[in-house]
Amino acid sequence: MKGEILKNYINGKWVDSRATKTRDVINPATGEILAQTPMGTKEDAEESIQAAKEAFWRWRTTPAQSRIRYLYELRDAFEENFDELAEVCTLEHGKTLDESRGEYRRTIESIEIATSIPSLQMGFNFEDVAMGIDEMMIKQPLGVFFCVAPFNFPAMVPAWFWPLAIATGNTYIVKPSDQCPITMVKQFEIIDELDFPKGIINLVHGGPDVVNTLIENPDTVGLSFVGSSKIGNLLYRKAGEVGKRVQVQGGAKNFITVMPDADLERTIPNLITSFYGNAGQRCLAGGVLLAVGEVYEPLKDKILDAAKKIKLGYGMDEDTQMGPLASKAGMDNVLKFIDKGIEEGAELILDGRNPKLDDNLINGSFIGPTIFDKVTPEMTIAKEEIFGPVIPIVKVNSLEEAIEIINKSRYGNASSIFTSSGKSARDYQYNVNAGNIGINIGVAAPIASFPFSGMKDSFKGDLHGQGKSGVDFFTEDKVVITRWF
Amino acid sequence: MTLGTLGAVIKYALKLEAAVISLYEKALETANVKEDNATITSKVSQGQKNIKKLKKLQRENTTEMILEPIKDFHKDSFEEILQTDLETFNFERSGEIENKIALFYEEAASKVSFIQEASYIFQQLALKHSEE
Repeated sequence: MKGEILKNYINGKWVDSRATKTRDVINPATGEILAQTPMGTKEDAEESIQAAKEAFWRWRTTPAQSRIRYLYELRDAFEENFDELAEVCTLEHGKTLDESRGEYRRTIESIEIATSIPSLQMGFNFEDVAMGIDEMMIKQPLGVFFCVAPFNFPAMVPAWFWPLAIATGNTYIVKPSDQCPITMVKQFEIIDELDFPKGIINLVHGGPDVVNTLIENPDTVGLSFVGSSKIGNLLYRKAGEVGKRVQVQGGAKNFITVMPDADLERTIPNLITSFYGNAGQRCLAGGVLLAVGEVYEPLKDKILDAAKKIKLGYGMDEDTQMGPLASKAGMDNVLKFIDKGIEEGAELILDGRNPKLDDNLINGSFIGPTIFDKVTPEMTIAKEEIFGPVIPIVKVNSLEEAIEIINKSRYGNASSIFTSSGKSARDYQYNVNAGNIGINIGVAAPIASFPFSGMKDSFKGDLHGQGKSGVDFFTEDKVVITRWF
Repeated sequence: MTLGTLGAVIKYALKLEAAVISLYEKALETANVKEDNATITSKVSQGQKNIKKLKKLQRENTTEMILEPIKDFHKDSFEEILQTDLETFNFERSGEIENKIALFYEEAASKVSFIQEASYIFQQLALKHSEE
């Protein structure tokens, strides 16, 4: 696939984009060009919308039991091709093979949950709301939905949406990340082999032209977005103006609080995966480490020791514990945050810049584990999403102070506490304004049957992705009141 | 040399299982006692099941949100299994080899305790090998 221009998948066929511009898809570990993403056109998007629109009626009248059989087949095909799919994800994103495997497991789980639609999409009824009059609620699909997917979980995030969307009888368009699109191309190759009904699921590459067309076209009904709050808020407003359903999962700054009574031996490895897993490029990654009271010194020493031992390298090597950032631009952004931290007076106690690497990785986007001490809540690195392997440590005196700092953040995606006190844990889950709370879990990632929550600037919309909320997003509740003469 | 990730541990376990299957298959060629034949065939079959179990573990239990780095899991003491000479292997050594693999799985179970499902499967594999 080296240098090849990727195709769109529309109406059950691979078709060339009309794009005149492309973007390199780069292996972030080696700098090698893997493919070219076409920066698609308005016409590309319109073609996909037309295909999805035409497929809708036949698909929505297909019994749910028949619809989900395609998903069963897809699930099995993903299992059969599991290793190859995970490798492609690692090649274009940089994450470790284990991380790609974990991502694909979550992808498959989302498909599995969608096969429960014959139960999840059931409505309800009630006899004799007045004498001789019955009432029922049915959940109906709406039409053409689409998602705008991020680069950090190129397989899993689209799967939060599209399996539920098509299982409920809608048709769908995936706009993958232009930085990491090959993962979805591989999935669509499998979809094509399984011969899904044409038009029910489409893939269109591109950037703003494609996204704007998908939003503005009157034949689409809703959008799921995962990415930065800046873009997310823009799309939320734009989609709202034209009456579309929207769920926007934006940026995050996830505070991780460690109490003096935490079991540090168990806590430290979990903090490592929270802050450094996926090279810090998770929307659920630890963003600030709040050390409460006397735990500060031992916590700092132990996390520093553990961070120094992380093996940085090529994600395709099984021994690698942390891969590169997913792009040079991402790396440069993290480097700016590190400079900012130094400039604002934080103490850089572990410097991940210019890490020592094997010769084949010198063109990669690597930053090693980085730790700042003596960070204050007002500093940029304690407020803004870094999206890289950086731990800012803030010392606080009490749980109350920690919660106050957390709740001042404009973000509310996730937050975790490490403690052995049930009281502290309860106070935390009760009072912290974040959508996903971890108790002795550093990455509070809801499984596919739960909503992926989020608050404040981390989520815009009424219905979250995944679970019953996802089913509600993709269906309209229709009430029927019946009287027979 | 150390094994620092769940993926590395599983990959190494797969190598051990495959190596032992090769030894037993070779032993099968030279075994001339009927009883031995049945035992060896059963071991080969169990080894193949173990490989399937490990691959299933890799696909299904690599739980992304709790993947933690593994510390101080040295593989050096298990290398002798991989280095056993196929041509000169004597089936009488199988007990010694099985014990060694069981030890590997016991250590693996302890090192990946952060994923309890994975740890449990390694414990089961340790038991399988110690029963052999």
